[in-house]
Amino acid sequence: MTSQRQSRLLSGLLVNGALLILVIIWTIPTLGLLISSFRPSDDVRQTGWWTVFTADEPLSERFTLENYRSVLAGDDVVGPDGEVIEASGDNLSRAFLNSIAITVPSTVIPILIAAFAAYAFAWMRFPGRRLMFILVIALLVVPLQSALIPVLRDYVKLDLNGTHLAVWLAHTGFGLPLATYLLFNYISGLPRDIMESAFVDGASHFTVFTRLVLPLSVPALASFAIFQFLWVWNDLLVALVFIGSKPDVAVLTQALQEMVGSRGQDWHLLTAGAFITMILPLIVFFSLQRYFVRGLLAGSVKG
Amino acid sequence: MAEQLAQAREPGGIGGLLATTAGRIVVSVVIPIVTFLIMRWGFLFLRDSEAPPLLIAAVAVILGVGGVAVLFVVMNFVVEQLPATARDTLRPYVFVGPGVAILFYYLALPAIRTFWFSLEIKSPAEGTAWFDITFLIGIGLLIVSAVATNAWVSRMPTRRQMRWSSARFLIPAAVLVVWYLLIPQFETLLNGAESGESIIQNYHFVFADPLMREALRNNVLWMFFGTGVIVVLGLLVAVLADRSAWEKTSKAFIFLPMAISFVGAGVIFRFVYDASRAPGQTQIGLLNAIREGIFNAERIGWLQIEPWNNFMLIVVLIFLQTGFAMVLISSALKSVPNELLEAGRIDGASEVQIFFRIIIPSIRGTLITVTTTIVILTLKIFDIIFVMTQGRNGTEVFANRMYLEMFRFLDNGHAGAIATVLLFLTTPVMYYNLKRFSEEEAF
Repeated sequence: MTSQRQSRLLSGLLVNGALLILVIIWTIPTLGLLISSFRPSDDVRQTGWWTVFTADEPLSERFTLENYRSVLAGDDVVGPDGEVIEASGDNLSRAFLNSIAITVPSTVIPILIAAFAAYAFAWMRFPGRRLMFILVIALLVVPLQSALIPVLRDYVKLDLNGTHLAVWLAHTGFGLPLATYLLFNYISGLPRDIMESAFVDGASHFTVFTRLVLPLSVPALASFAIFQFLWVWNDLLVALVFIGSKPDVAVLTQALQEMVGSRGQDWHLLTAGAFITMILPLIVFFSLQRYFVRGLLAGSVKG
Repeated sequence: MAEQLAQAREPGGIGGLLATTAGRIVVSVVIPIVTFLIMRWGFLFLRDSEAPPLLIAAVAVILGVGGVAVLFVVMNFVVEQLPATARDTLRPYVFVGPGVAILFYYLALPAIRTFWFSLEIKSPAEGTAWFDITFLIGIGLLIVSAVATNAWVSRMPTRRQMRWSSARFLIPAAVLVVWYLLIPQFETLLNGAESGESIIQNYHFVFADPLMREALRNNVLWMFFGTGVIVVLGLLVAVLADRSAWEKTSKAFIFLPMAISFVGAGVIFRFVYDASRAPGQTQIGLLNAIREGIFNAERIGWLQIEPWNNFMLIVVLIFLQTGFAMVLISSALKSVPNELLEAGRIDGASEVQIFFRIIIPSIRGTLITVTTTIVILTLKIFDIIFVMTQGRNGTEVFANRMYLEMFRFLDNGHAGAIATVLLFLTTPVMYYNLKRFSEEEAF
């Protein structure tokens, strides 16, 4: 009896111990980034971030907001030896706003378009319906690389490249198959009798959609919204191709990637910059994690 | 019915005008035009304005979000003005039209256009031939191996056929890859064939160019090593968390990196791998600090040493995506019926046996889904390489190469060929999705 209890205790210890090790490994890299972003530049240059735990200086000397101030403002920064370093490239507050201007519409537009299409696929009968839905399914796994060259060429011809509209539409296109598929699965599962009673009352499809289907589909819409939001916010390739080198429109991932190129060893700035790009997704992620998991589970039906 | 619909329509200030047919026509022409003009003004404002960034961002959000809503309202309004039959015919297309049009223009059509680009030769020489012997042999091998595997799998009993169904794609693909890896062994054959240029020379570039072969090797590394570790770790964490006392918290920690961008993770791990301090100085990169401090060894340029630097990059993907695998697998684990496990225990099966004989087969579907999703992700992998090494020191991959061909070498032919190959590699999954759709859905 005792040996059985012992072995259960041992296996419990093993399970929790192994899990703890994995969790620690998964946390340390991000923790290092976060701590370094708050340390004075000289400290970051000279000692590892883990030394903050054992350092003798008071807390106020160990931590600073200076790194954030300089990457956000993009003003000139006074270097360690007193010389002035020009930092025209790091205007991350601008990039942050650009990211919002790109990401929010690029999230809402595909959702609305996909919801309308999903409703039509689920509740309307029309010629070409099956063929169009097959198109949606077939495009679920198409790599966006195969779209870059022709679309870019058209954009350049139309002088659209680097505009908000161009990037919104590109993200809409790349997000639409999954959005339509997810929302179709949800909307086609809504109870039939609710719809029918609305039609009997004389409501048009448009009214039923806006007044009934959209409110009922909020969980599915939210799931996909988080998905797409994270995807667009974190995207680099689409931004590089369709925004290119326009500092007025450039988003955070581009700005950070440029910082890696231009100040690859200035870890106090790079870490702060990286954390700025991560802060909003992390907030969204933590506050809406439930919806995100639900979306993942539903969306993974593809592939 | 028509009256009811008319009642359901939003009453507005233009109600009186709408009563006459002429009024209807005028209104249904004027409103789209006005909407278009407003949208156009917004577009020009966003493109040319020197307004403060905050204002531009606000206008962009309002315009983007409002614009798409207005688009549907206006289209619906116009259709509502039509005679009943036309209205009923057209309405579904108001709903489905924008989505299908965008899908067609942004994904379906480009696939064909990209293929067309891939035949474009940047600086064509004289005597362009229609074929190239290595390519023809490659295609021949692909067809022969596909037919042979298909025949072989079809002759198996049904149950084994299910298990081997992926072999129908994997074996021909493997044959093709092996063929192109072997090509240098037939250098003489190649030299003979290369005297004239061929129309498919961009594809020849994809498989024969030294850097592209490096990319091919690396993508295969990413595919097998990356996917393998992610699935196994995801499974491990899911199982461990399921039996631990702090399931939710531990899963959240593993899951958290899913919110981090590849670029951000690239910076995080460049910092971990940092090797910029000379051997005498204090190492600030975590890995080198551990090497110097604990193992008393010299620092290593983790991102410089071939071919191991590829694994260093793959670690970043593992860090980001294990949470994804874990969430899916964990939810599948919870749906394995308890009676099944109990029955196994009563029959005297050990925990290990239960795991491999009962649990793994029950979650097989999910494991396949996770694997295919991550395999596709590794095919397209770009950001991590672009941020961390730019493809230097033997870390090239397809997507990075494609980007460079597009923007640095301005060679759409090469880039198009790479993109077409990527698309080709995803067709088995596309086929599988369509097959399942036609089987399951009563559409």
